[in-house]
Amino acid sequence: MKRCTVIGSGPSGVQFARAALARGYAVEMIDVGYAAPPPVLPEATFEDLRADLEDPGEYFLGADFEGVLLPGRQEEFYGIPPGKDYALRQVAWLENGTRGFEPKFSFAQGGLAELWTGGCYPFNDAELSAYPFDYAGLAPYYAEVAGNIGINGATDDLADFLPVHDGLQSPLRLDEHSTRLLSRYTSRRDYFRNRLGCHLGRARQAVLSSDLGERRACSYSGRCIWGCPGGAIYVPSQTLDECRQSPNFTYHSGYCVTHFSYDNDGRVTAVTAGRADDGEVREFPVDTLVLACGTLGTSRIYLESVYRQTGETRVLPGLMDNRQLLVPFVNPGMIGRKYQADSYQYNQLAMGLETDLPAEYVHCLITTLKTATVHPVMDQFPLDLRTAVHMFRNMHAALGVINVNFHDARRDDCTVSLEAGDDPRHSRLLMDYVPPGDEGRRIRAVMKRLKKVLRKLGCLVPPGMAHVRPMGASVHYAGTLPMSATPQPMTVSPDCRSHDFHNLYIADGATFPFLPAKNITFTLMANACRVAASM
Amino acid sequence: MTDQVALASECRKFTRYLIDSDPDAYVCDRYSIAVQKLQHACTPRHAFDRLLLALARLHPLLTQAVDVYARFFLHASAVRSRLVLLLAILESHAATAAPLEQPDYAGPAGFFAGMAWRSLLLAIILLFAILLLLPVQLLSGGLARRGAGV
Repeated sequence: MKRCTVIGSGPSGVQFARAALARGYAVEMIDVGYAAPPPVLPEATFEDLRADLEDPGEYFLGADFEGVLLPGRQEEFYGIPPGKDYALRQVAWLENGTRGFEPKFSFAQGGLAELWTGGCYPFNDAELSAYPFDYAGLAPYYAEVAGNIGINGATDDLADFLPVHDGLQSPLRLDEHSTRLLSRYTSRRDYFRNRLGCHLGRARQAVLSSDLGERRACSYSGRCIWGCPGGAIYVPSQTLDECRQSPNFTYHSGYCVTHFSYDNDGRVTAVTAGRADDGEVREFPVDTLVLACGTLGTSRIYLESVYRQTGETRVLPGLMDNRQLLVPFVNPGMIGRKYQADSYQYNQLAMGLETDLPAEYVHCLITTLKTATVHPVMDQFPLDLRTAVHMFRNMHAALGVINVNFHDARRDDCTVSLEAGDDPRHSRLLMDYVPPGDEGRRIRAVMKRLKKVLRKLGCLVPPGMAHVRPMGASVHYAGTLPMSATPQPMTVSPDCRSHDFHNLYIADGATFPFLPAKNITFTLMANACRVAASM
Repeated sequence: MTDQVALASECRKFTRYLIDSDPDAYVCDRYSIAVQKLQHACTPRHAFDRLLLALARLHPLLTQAVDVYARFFLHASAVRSRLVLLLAILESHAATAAPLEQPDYAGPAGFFAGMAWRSLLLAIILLFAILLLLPVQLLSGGLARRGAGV
């Protein structure tokens, strides 16, 4: 039986492992693997939790009230709720340094996608033009992943930008606010499409609208933000659990891989890992190595391996991430309505803005405000809190936010490298990001268009409330070891086999040569399946 | 008066100010624990900060005046931090979440009329607060600290 060793249990790692097991491989996975706590009162709705928990404050705000966003704190409104802290728990002995970049790392079972909002947006031919394959080459794997994880969506105006693949479930029930926005768009569809270059439609999410295997369809409990208790929102740890049922799958948790060793022929022979809690070293022999611990994790292992073997300190250019812009809006038509807790809480609508170059399409996610913690919003109003409470309870259902995503391209001045760390046993990973020169102009132009679109949808944009998220916040990292049809150092083949090491595959976003404006997780999973199929 | 009793009294006053109803034992207990756990933000850091907190505890009208003043001139003050903390506790608890969520108006017309009236009152309160507190803050050197988030 052919064997492979996969590093990391994020979306790429688990989908690669699942696909490899299905193709007859024996798979060994090495992972830190911090586990999620069991769900609290799994049958309860959001409102039940507030009423039935002995200490709802601890659940919603955290044991040390770390979920309270106090005045003057520079954090974003909707950070990670206390119950999901495990996903950002770090390995104490790993060091990072950054310039112009605020990365997030996860060592949880399932990786950063344990925190995702489920957006599944396939890349189209224009966006894949820098890749060594087109949409048709990836479509079977999109369908394979969709069938495995369950994706809901519709064939609507967004299909111009989002190819319709097989395996889509019917869309979820819309909340009242989203229904109104979609209805307004539909009534002036030609104007939006032809004059504003704006296309509105249903979001596509990895959320079950009908049962799939043992997972039950969304029950509209309103608990999405705090952690879906019924498994309707897909997270990669579900696939990890599925893999662990296989007798051909071995899971080594508690280990953080630092580097691999290779022989003079460029063949990887073993990986070295440190125990996550105390750093104690263990070596694992490998036949075929698959790095799938996310662009930054994979880059760290690659750089450290070369450095340890040769003393050479390489620099990986091409680090990419999606710049995101958050644009809050108010829909006066919803003032005085009660917000709907019994609905899917993340974005239910998506919007595409056409651009001159199709690959530079701007992708927007429209979220209407429902069960999220709201004290930070009230604190931001230029009011005393008594008046803010009065204003807010009447406006709650009328509020929403658009998350605007911009594409990114590989550039030489955005790099990942190593430098000496405080602990002589480990290097520090240094991430250096410089935004493209025309970024400010692009953001201003999109903001202007977006305001016009929102006005036509009957909404207002409160002045001064739009917020450009720091680079790194989208966690769509890519591009440091890109696919290349011609063999070059620090690249991989179209099948994601390293051009430097014969038995090394890279199955995560490090191999992406271009980053469209869309959430990349679905494509990460599809590409990982494609790599497994090519081995 | 012990710290616990003082905090419970403060919790009652601030809860009435925010949602026009009394807190139950759970809210008072959580508030007391939270203020102690988040001491760095909830403890006044200078004399003017202490004055704001003391005034806010005196009377609901003063609470509102201090609150709106702090929003503009000392956002990270202890009193504003305590009010936001209490708001977070109130919204997480079923018994006190309803007043934060139940709309008063059927549509935008009533809402905008109501807000216009409240804004007018608020402008008067803010003016009163500025006349009362700004000279004190200037004399205590507080505005210089404002930029540092103190």
